[in-house]
Amino acid sequence: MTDMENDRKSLWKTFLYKHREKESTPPPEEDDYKVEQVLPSSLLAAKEMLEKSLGKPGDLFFRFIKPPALKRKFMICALEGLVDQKELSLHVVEPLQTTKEVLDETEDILEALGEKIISVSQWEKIDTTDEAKNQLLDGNSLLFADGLSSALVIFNHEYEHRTVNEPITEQVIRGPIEGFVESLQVNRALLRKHIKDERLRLDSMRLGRRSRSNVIVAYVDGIANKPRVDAVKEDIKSLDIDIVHDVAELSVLLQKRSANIFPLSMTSERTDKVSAALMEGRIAIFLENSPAAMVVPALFIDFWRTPEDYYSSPVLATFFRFLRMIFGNHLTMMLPAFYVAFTNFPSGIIGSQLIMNMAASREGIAFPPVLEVLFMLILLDIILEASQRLPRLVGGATTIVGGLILGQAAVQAKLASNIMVIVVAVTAITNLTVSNLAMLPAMRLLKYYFVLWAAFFGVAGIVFAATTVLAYVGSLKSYGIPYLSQMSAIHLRDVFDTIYVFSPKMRTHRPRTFKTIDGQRWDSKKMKYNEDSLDDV
Amino acid sequence: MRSLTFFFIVLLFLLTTGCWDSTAMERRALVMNIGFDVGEEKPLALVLDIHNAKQSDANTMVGPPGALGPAVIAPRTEGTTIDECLEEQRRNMPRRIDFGLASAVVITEDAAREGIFPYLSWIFFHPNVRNNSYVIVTSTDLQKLFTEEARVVEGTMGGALLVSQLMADRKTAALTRVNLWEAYRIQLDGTGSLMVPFVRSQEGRIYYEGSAVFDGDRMIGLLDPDESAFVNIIAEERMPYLFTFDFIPPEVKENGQEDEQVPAVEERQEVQEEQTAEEQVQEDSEEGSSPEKGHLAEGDREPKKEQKQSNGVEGRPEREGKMDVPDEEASRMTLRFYRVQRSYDIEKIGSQQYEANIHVHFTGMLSDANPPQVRYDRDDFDAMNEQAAQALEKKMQAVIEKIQKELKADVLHLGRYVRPIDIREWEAMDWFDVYPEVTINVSVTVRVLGATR
Amino acid sequence: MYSEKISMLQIGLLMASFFVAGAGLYYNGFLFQTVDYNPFVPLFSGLLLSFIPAGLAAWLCARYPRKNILTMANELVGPFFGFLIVFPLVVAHFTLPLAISRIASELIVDVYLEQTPPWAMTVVLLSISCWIATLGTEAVARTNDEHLVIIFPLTMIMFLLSFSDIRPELTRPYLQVDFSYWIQPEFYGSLLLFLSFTIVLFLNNSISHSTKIYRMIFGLKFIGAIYLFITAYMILGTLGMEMAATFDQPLKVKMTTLRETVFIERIDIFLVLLWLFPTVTSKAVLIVTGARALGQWMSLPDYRRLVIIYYLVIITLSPLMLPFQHAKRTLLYLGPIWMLYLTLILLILAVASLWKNPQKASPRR
Repeated sequence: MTDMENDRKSLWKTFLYKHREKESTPPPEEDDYKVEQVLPSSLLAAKEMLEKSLGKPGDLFFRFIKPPALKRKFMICALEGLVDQKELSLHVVEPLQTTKEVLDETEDILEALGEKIISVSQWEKIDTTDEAKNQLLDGNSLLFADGLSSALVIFNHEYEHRTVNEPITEQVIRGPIEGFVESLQVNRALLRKHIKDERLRLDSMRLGRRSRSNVIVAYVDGIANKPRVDAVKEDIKSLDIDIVHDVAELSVLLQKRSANIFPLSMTSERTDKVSAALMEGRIAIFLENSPAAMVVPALFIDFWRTPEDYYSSPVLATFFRFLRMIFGNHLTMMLPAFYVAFTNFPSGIIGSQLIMNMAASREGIAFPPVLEVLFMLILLDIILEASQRLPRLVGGATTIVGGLILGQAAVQAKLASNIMVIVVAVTAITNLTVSNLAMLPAMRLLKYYFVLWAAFFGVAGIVFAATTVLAYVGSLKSYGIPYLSQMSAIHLRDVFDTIYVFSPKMRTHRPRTFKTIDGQRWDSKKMKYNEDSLDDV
Repeated sequence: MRSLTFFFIVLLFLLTTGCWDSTAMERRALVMNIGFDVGEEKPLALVLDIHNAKQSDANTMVGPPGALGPAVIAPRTEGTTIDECLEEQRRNMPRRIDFGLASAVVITEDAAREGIFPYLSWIFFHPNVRNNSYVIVTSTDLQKLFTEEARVVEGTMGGALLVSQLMADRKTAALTRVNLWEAYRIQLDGTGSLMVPFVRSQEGRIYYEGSAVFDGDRMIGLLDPDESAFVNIIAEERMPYLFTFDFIPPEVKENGQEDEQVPAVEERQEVQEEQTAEEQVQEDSEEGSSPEKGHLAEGDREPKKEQKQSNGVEGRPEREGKMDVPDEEASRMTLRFYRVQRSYDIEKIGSQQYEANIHVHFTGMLSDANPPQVRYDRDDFDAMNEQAAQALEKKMQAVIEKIQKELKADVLHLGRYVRPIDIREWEAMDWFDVYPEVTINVSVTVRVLGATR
Repeated sequence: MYSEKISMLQIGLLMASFFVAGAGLYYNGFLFQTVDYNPFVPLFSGLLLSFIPAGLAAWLCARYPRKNILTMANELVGPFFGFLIVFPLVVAHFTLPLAISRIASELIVDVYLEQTPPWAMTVVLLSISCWIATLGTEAVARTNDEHLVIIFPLTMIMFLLSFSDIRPELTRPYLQVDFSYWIQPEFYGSLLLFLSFTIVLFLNNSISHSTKIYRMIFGLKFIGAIYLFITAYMILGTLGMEMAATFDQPLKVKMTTLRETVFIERIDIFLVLLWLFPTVTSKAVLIVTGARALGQWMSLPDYRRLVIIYYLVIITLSPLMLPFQHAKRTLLYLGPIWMLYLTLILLILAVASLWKNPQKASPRR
């Protein structure tokens, strides 16, 4: 950017983004001045160095070995709990102690050890202290030899992790029920199990100044758009931050608009969902210690799709998607707003019988409709929030107290009309029709926005609110892909799997939105239905 | 971020604009019907039919007894203009007047005879009043009409008691229905005369007593229910319709015994009963003797009749079947028409001279009032067609004579068809001067398809 | 210069929005005031008249793919004259939203919010349009797509509910023609509706497959004419010529006469609000094309902040249109002037293009 443009922008920036100017000062580049330190050759010096840099932790242990056949002294060093100690003693300590082989001192003793004596599956030779420390923290064991300024890394880390089980947040009736776990190795294996393609790429990199977590960027070479993969990698590389705990946090960090409430990436624990996404040309990001994969680019429609849509008949899938997306989504956002519009504005829109009933139930209520709605909605959200965090045993009680007693009492105390209670109940239920929970908070927040507009302009206000929300959603992009893609008319063919789910024969191609390299996913013309097929008509 | 900031600025700005229209529901008086009358002291009177929500069945949280007030309040104010009347209503009403639910505009006969256009145009341009509400003329006092405790199924719920019959059966011929916008249009383009339902309230029941006919915007006369049914059939092709006439079987006629037999038309005297047919069902079965009683329930009882048909062979032996002996020479025959096709053929025969040929084709069946024992053959049906057509034609000519010569009102909306023939001439002439001179020929054909059973 | 991408279909939908909004807001009012009877003749005359500039625009767009009218004018008549002849078009783009907002606010105030002052609605509508415009051309186009998805079923409902009230004899005569419309200003005002293709001229550099844009322009004209014909027929068959001509927004009145449906007693409120969707987006696209053009002349990297400046200016100016008649008169004069001017400059550009490079055949894809 030229200076002139900078000047032109500065006035505006100081006006609106004063607080952001400070953030944009680049962090000091320490790496440039760092000198790689070679490992000390003496065992004791090495021990001292490690103890000093790690601060004499209780879980750091050293084991000295003096093999009878060798002249040197060896030292094994590892962090307790991170390494497989059985493997260490069985395949490293025991062979060293019992070896009869006399090694030639002229060759590299550590490499010779790795090749001839130690029986672990994976090892590596390192030279610098930084590497040694990193490997130690990654949960690997180090084997030092006295008098040599290098060490042998024995890859025997073994973290504690859950076993693979059903994802709790994304339960389905049909389909595989295995979900990702917090261990990156397991996740990688699960993915490989699904896609046995040689072109499945699992590019790993490190993230976090202090956490140094492993990140895997998974995509299928030959399908995924290469510049987009590079952009994702570039973004992750340029993220210079202490620690990232979960992919959800990562997705928040990667967003350019900080005030955006819509999820611009899809996090999923389901293996089938992620592998399907990869096959559409998307990119999945796995993070160590996070049980979910983050899929980019994500579209608005993705949050209304469920795996079951593809495991059942397109007609059924369309019906249920309609339920979720058209009815569930709109009711949860707009029903309270419509209540406000109908009770607070000149009547006559809806049936006079209902208006009569509403008028009768409104008689004697202390609050005006807007306050009544806000009061009940906030109460509803408090109950939802409370029941989410509470242990299950107590949670049931909250629901009963909140739902039954409070609602009934509010009506009897004339704090709310009984139609309002129904409205709130419907809102609470339709909240949950969203298929991906990442979209839920946005919907819960938007209902207040709609109520606000409805309070001012009635039904017209709801139309205005819908316009602005649509425009806002329409302006979002996820890695260059417009958020409303597939639903808006850039590629007509992609509409086949949006609100309506067409037959798989219409969906033989990958979404063109993602600009995939290989477009076809099913050559339906090759399909031969023989007489014994499922469908004999 | 920039656009979001801008958006919040805009939103803040909007929120300062205030909400003018927002009034909580319990602060509004819901007007169910709007009534206009001639004032006693001032020229105009406005009566509003206001529903009391506290009194509604849906109000489950009733307060102390006696605190609820009447179910309907109908305050009456007088003034020189409608706005003045409304202003006074506003002064006296502790709530904001909301016309959103108003389903009917009721005008008293006195007011209607003085001209209704000011009312129509005032309501039409009054925001919030539904333009698809109905226009009704009544001979009953408006306050009595609105507040009288209803004794029908509808109850006070919805306050739409007045129009519930208009809403219940949209197609029946006997009820005249006219919407506000329609009435306004007829006033404005002058292609016809307005015909408005005429109602009377008695002991909590609404009786539809034919229609009020207007010349311009002044009410000039009344058509009885049967006449207005004919007008509705011709003008709007409304159905179903029951028609009773004297039928002479062909073999009797061949014998030459009844040479001068002119089928006498049986007038239906109690059409108003059929309007409140829901009430009538019980009484009918109790009385069950009068031959006409059973014929009349075309409108509301229609579905029941259909059911009976599908039920199969067994009829209703205690009813009309007995009244006619089959071997009598002239039997009284009732036809139930369910389809009518009307065509206007209007020709210009000279300067400002028009000739209208109206052809009406009825399709119907024998109603269940006819003797079930008789089996009719092809010849019988042919004779039936012919005789029914003759009877209908005669009746229609009488009606047309009345509206054209006596009332001089174009309720058949012939003007709408005359207008496009020569629109230059139409713009130059006054249709209502020409209309009484127009030759109107009516021809009727009837096709009876069989018996209902 | 701005790297925004809009597909052909989206441009078509934007033009469709102009038709839907215009028919609901002002077009039918003008149309029925031009003649005493048979308004279908002025409708089709207007359509045919608009084919002249539309044909020129389509030809130019096909001849200069990926170039908008600014670049074309710059290349053909030089930067100074280029600016001079295109700038009035930008002014028209900036004027129209204000008048349309006022007319749309009349619609809402008349049908639903009768106590709200029209200026408040005008401000609301302008604010929303401007805000959508700040999101950029692509966002406007995508919002418009979704809006049309919403209003398509509602339009179908509108048509279905309308037909039961129609009396065909009120729409007649068809063959007797009242040619007095040629001297009525309202007829020329109604031409405004057919000018939606100007957005193609301004967005031509963002449209993919722009050499076949003529299909979209003429296809949309055809569909739009059918839509206008149906709405005019509906109004005429229900209200009659005499009554329809007394209203400024007869389609709105037609909507208020619809029968109550199963549950919704005044479906007209929903149907009238239906026009707000295309109104908002068509205003937004006018604003965004104007701002883009200005940005291109000023070579700004981001034209969107011009929208904010425009917003402040237009809000300040909005009291000008406070009387409804002012807004109506603006449209009345804007229509013919714009149409004439557009035809003129397109002719100039076409002649200049042939003069400079007569051999160049329009490129085929």
